[in-house]
Amino acid sequence: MDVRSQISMVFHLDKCIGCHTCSIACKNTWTDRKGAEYMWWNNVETKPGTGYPTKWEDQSIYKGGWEKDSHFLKLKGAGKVKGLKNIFHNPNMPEMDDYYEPWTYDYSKLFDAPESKDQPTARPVSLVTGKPMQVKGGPNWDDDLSGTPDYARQDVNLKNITQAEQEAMFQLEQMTMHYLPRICNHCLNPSCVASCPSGAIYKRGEDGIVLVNQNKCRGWRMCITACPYKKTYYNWNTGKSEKCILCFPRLETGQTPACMHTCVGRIRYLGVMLYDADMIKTAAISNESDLVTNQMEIYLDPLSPAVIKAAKENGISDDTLEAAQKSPVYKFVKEWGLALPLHPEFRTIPNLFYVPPLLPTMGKVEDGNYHNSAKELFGGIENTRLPISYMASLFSARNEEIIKDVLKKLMAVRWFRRDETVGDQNKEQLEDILKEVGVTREVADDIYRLTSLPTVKERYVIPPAHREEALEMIEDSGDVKGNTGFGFHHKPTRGL
Amino acid sequence: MKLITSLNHKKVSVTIYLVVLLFVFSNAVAQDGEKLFQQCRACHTIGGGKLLGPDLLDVSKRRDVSWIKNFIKSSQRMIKAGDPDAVALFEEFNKLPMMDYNFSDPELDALVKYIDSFSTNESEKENEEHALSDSTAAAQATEYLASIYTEENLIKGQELFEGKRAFKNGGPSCISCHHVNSDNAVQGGLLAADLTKSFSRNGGLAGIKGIIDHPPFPAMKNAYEEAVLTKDESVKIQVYLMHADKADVMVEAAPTDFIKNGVKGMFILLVLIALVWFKRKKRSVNYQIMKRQSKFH
Repeated sequence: MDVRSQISMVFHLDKCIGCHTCSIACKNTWTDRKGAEYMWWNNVETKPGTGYPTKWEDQSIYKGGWEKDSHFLKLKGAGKVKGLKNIFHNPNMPEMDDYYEPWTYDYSKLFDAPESKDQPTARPVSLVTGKPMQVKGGPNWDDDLSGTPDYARQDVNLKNITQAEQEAMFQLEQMTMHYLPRICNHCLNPSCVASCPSGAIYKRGEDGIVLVNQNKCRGWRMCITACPYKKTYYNWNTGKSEKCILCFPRLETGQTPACMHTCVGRIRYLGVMLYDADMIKTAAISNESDLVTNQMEIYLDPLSPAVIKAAKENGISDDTLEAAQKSPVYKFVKEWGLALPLHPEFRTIPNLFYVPPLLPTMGKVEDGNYHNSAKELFGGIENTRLPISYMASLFSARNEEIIKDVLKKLMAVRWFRRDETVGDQNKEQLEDILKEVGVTREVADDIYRLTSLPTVKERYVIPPAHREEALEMIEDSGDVKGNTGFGFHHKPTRGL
Repeated sequence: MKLITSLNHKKVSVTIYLVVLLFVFSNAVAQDGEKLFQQCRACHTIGGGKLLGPDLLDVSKRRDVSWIKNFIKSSQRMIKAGDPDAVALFEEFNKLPMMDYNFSDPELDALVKYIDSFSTNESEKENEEHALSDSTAAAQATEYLASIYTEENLIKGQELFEGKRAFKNGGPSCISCHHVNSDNAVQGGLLAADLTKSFSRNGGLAGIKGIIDHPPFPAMKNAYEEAVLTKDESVKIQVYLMHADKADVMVEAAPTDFIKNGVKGMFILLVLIALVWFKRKKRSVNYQIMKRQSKFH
């Protein structure tokens, strides 16, 4: 057992309202710079939709992630031979139009324009060329199904669901959708790290954050192709690649990442997961239908004495262990089995988990009354407006049983709460339901509380980073005691 | 009397002085003529038979001296002017133009005098040589050719030509300025004439020999003035050029094949590229969406 710690996240999609506050917080904090205007380290997509960059999920276009060969795993679009073949032109890499050309408006014209019969206008100006441009698309042009057939009907996941299911979906396309906020998954088997010819990308030992060393990056851009989530970006101004840093400077000082801190719907949870690094290999090469189950095996119970012992042997601090024991992520992912990784078939073992949305069942209005098609409680799950197969395509590598299991649990918690607050349900039926999904009333209550009433400290359990220990590895703090940190740079002025 | 004597003395001394001067001068002129003739030797002999140009023995008996002088100064001008003798001569010698030599009049005189000096001295000897029957001469020539036209000379000749083997006196290799079409020779220089057909163009071995031994061309003359080729080297080069002329393989076969194969190869390559990259991403994924939405696309 090789126990390591990883900062992981859970996004509860039932709670996401698609406000993009997270994206704006991230943009303002990190990517509001020349060359980074087009980057959205955090973005919110509407599903069904094409996403950002367009059709990022379609690896037949972008060749990201891993694929199984006869022996082991190999990168789909990078590696020595493939890299050499595409060294001058890499057609699998997204081009600017696959993202969008960033722009601003010439606002000063609104004030400076000479008097004329027409209203002055602020023309769009490209942030890349600095010239006036025709806006052709943006990073969330598919937002809220966009009102055109261009986006939702081109969703890559549709190829995994039947024609009949698609038709049912698009009869209701004006009503059915859910949001999918995305940041870097800080994967356990990151293909960006594996693809980098310069060795500039690395996974931090203490918390598993994947970072690009800006001094070592040589701008090969293999990571751009290799990341199946398209979450590394090339800065055309600096000539280096950049990605989500999980706000590590904030984490190290005990603050939550900017996107999570600002989240209006409070959908985001962050905490430590302990995992067994020896098991990454077996999980990554397992069959598609077992990918999620095998990934769950990697994460270890932080309360198990054997795990604690092994963790301590690996130098994981007591504080981190304590954080792992309180981790909301561990509860959602492992204890309750409610959160699933996004597109596990890319085999990168992502550490960002999603609680799938429990969408309403299909129904219709007759004589002014709304009738839904659900005959009984779990029957409704089979008839959600977005088919199970669509959810399975997103979150479980097309294993529908896993999705059904999660949705049933979510549904059971709702019926449990209905019983608690209204009490109009058949108690025996409720007991059967809870038994079927393997949830006791106490656990159902825990799920409800962490979903609906969590405090900030419950949502974000950030382990102390112990930078003072890191500093002591470089210099002896005793030497400088009394020399720094005392006295004033500027003498304080007193009085008025 | 004393005066006369002294006068006589003076006359004698002046005469002696003049005679000596004349002797020295004439000798100098004669030598000058011989020296000048070095430049002609590549193409002409005096009583030695035709090379590139005619044998000049008794030339002043056949032609007017002023005609000879004009011809030396600029043969081409005379031909263009339509001088019948000059044109006939030009036609006879394969339309090979003779270089213009910018000699002064005294130099031309010396040259003619030098050539004339042979006609008296050597006419008898010349006659003797002419007495040899043509068949004998031909037999001798064949024998000579057989003696030098050996595999070894050919290989060494090519090596010398290509500069793989240095000339004994340090002359530059032929390939630095000349090219010869040959299967196993590399591309030669383009500064001077293509020597593939030099054998037939220059009237056989004797012509080539003349040029090699006494280069008439200014650049070549300068190059080999100090670094004269040995007789043996000269022979080897001659043999190589003779062989190259006969072989001259690349002229017919190579260029058409090269183009044909090139076109074929190009076609195959284009088909291969089209097949290999048939499915590759050619434009933005957004292209269709943007095209439908924007009239500006």
